[in-house]
Formats: sequence, C-alpha cells, structure tokens
Amino acid sequence: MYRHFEDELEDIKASVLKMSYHVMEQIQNSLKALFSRDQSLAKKVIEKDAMIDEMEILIDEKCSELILRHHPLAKDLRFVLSALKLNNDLERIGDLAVDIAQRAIEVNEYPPLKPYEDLPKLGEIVIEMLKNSVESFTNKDYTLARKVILSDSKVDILRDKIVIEILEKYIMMEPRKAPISLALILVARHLERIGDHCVNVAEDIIYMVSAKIVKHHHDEF
Amino acid sequence: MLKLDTEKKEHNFSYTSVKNAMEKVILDPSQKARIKVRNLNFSYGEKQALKNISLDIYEKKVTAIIGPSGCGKSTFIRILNRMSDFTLSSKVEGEILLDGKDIFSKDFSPVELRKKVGMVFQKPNPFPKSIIENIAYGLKINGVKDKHKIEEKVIKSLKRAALYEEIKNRINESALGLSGGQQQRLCIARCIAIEPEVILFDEPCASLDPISTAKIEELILELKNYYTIVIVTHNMQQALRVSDYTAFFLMGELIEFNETKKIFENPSDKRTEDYITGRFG
Repeated sequence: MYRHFEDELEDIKASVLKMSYHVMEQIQNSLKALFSRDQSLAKKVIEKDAMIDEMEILIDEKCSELILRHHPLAKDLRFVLSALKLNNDLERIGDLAVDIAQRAIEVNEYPPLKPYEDLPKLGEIVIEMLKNSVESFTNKDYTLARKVILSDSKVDILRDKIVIEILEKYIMMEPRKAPISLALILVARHLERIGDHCVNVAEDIIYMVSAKIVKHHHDEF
Repeated sequence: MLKLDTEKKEHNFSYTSVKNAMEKVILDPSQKARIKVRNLNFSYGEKQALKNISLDIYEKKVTAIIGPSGCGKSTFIRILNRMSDFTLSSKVEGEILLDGKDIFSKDFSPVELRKKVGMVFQKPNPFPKSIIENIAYGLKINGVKDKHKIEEKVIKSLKRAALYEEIKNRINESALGLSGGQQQRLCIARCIAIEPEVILFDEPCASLDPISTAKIEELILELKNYYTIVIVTHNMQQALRVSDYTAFFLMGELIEFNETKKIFENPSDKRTEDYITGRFG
C-alpha cells in the first residue's frame, strides 16, 4: 500500500509540473503574440486554455482520491493541500494568459503606440517568479519561495510606472489612443495579477516545507 | 509554548540538561498536570518495556498514546492504575504522581488508586449480569448500600455514557444481550459510576463498527468536560479527532509529545513523521 501511496504522490507532483510547464508556455506565447503582433499565436493561446482547465480537474480528482484512500498526514498532508492550491493558482494564471492574448488581439488592430520597453521587463520578472515558484515546489526550496514573495514589490512598482506613463503620455494627451492605451494598462494589470498568484504559490510552498503560515504576514519573515 | 527536545537525554546534571529535560516534560505550563510521570522505567524478566518516560497528563484533556505494536503504549497506561502489579517479575522505577502523590508509595493502596483512575479495555467486558447490576456492583463493593442512591448513580452513569435512552426499558435484562458498542458504553458507565478522576482507554474502539466507534468518540469528547482522559489507539484519525495532546512511543521510548495538531501536521522528530505517514511500523 505504501508503494502505491508514494506512486500517487509522485503522480500528483508530475501532473502539477506538467501543468505548470504548459501555463508558463501560455504566458510566454501571449506576450510574444503582443510584442511580435502575431494574431494567430494569440488565438492559439485562447484555444489551449481548455487543455489547462482539463488538467486542473484531473489534478483535483487525483488529490481528492488520494485524500480519500490514504488519509495523508504531516508532510504528505501538507504536500497534497499545497498541490491543490497550486493547481488552482496555475489555472488562474492560465486564464490571465488568455486575457493577455485577448488584449494582444485588440492592441494589434492598431498601429503601435511606441516600442515596448517596460512591459517585456514586467513579463520577464513575472515569468521568473512563476519559474521559481514551480522550482521551489519541485525542490521543496524555502529560500527560493521566499525570494518569489519578496520580488512581488518589483512587479507592483513596474506596473505603476507603466500605468502612469500610459495615462500621462497617451490617455490624457491623445484621447483617440485611449482604447489601445487601456488595453496595454490591462496587460500590465494581468501580469501583476500573475505575480500575485506566484506569491500565493510561494506561500503554499513555505507551508508545505515548514508548516508555517506566512499569508498576510510577509513582514514577519 | 515550550518546544519539545527530542534529542537523547544527557546524564550530566548541568543547568542546560535539566532545563531541556523539563522542556520536554512540561509541554504546556498553562495547563494543570493531573498526572506527572517522571523517569519511569518498567521491565519484566529481561525485557525493558519502558525507558525513562517523563510526561505530564493534563486535567480535563484527552491525551492519546500512539505507536506501533509492542512499543509500550498499553504497558504505559496499565502502569497508571497499577495494573502492572499483576505482571510477574516486573520492576518499576521512577515516579508517577497523581495530584502530587506518588502512586507507588506505601500509603497509596492500589484499590484507592483504581477508584481514582478507571480503565476501559479493548474488548467490552461486561459481567454476565443485568445492565443495572453491572454498574451497581462497583458501587456496592465500594461501600454504597443505599438502594435509592445506587439507582440514582446507575442512571446518572448510564446517561453520562450516552446509553440510558437506548436501554432504559431493559435495564434489568442481561448486559450480554447488548450490541458491542452498547456493551462498551456500559463498561464506560460502570467505570464512571465510581466517580474516577482519570479514565484510561486501551483501544476502546478496536472491536467496534464505525457507527459504534463514532458514538464512543463523541462520548470521549463529552467526558473530557468531567475527567482527565488517556487513550491508547492505533487509529491515527481517531487520535486526531478526540485528543488534545499526543505522545508517540517507539520501542519503549517516548519519542515525541506535543499538541495533537502539531504532531500530525508537522512533527519534530523524523521517527514520528515516518510512523504517522506510514513509512514504517
């Protein structure tokens, strides 16, 4: 029975990693579609979301079956609880990648406002956060999870910078560019939300590794 | 809250070693310890069944004892009311203080002790008598002669054991006609009729179906309002459901003692974690 249990834990871990790989690809492709004005790539991102949703349901089922069958305790219980929450956050990140792809389709209808500078930087930080969250899950790495949480402020600062720049330079000065400007503000907002989900994941990893609940108490660690 | 020190005991009497030892024993200084076990060793023949056990059992709390078969958990609770006196060529060292009084001292008779520390066993063991006589028997041998008083206590005990409503119309019938779960609750009623302070449960649900088990667990949660409870169980979900504190025993040693939530969510000792996650035992 013990071997089956270990196999099921490994299976959940592998499924979460597989899903995180696809979610990461979704964000990368949605940003690529925006920056390289690739409408068909944006549409592919939207279509692929159904697959991510199916993966979420599958992982949910695997976790609930494991809880039912094995009543996990201690580190196993913390692992399954974290996997369930991680699964939920990954699915939400997938949805946000779709949102970015939808904004890309809208934005690409218009001539570019200006060459992209800060949005690609924001995208890179957020993708790095997701990568680190997933890696901290795989390696049970407390330090890396902590790093993810601490990098959230960088995301917020850069998002604010982008929003202020677009507001001041385009929405206020050239109202006819408001539709494209608003879409780009939303992209910054979607990326910032992805960062927040990465922080959720990192908090769950810290719980998984150390049983410490750090949600809403970042100042204390 | 003091943390447990699960490292091996040092035998020099430095301040640190004494402090560490006390931190392990006094888990929660805010609680009143009804029983204090200190450096308890128990052996019979060549076998040392318990090795230097020290822990506090808190008043009106449920303390669960868990561990693999042969780890000494049943031996431990049997010593708490000196059932161990019946083990041939056994030797006890150390102290067990009930309200500060050593239960092994000459002026503490085993009969007196067992009035204060009752026990419920794995298999229900009603006497082959009527339901009412099962409970009245203990009262009679303890000197209660007034018939009305006995009846009053019998009914009170049956009610407290959550059995009265089910059997009130047949209390003069044989106890052997009751179901397993009812028989076990009768044994609990028999135990509490004597008005003990501590109740020891040695795997009380081991031979019961899930519904009877749920009733006994509900009852334990109710009884802890009146009594200090120690329960030996192999069922970790049961320990989680009913206990406030959990002690993990392994090969006669107390490996870890802590709040139940802490033990099952994030144990301090690798051996505890391996046991509760099914990695061994």
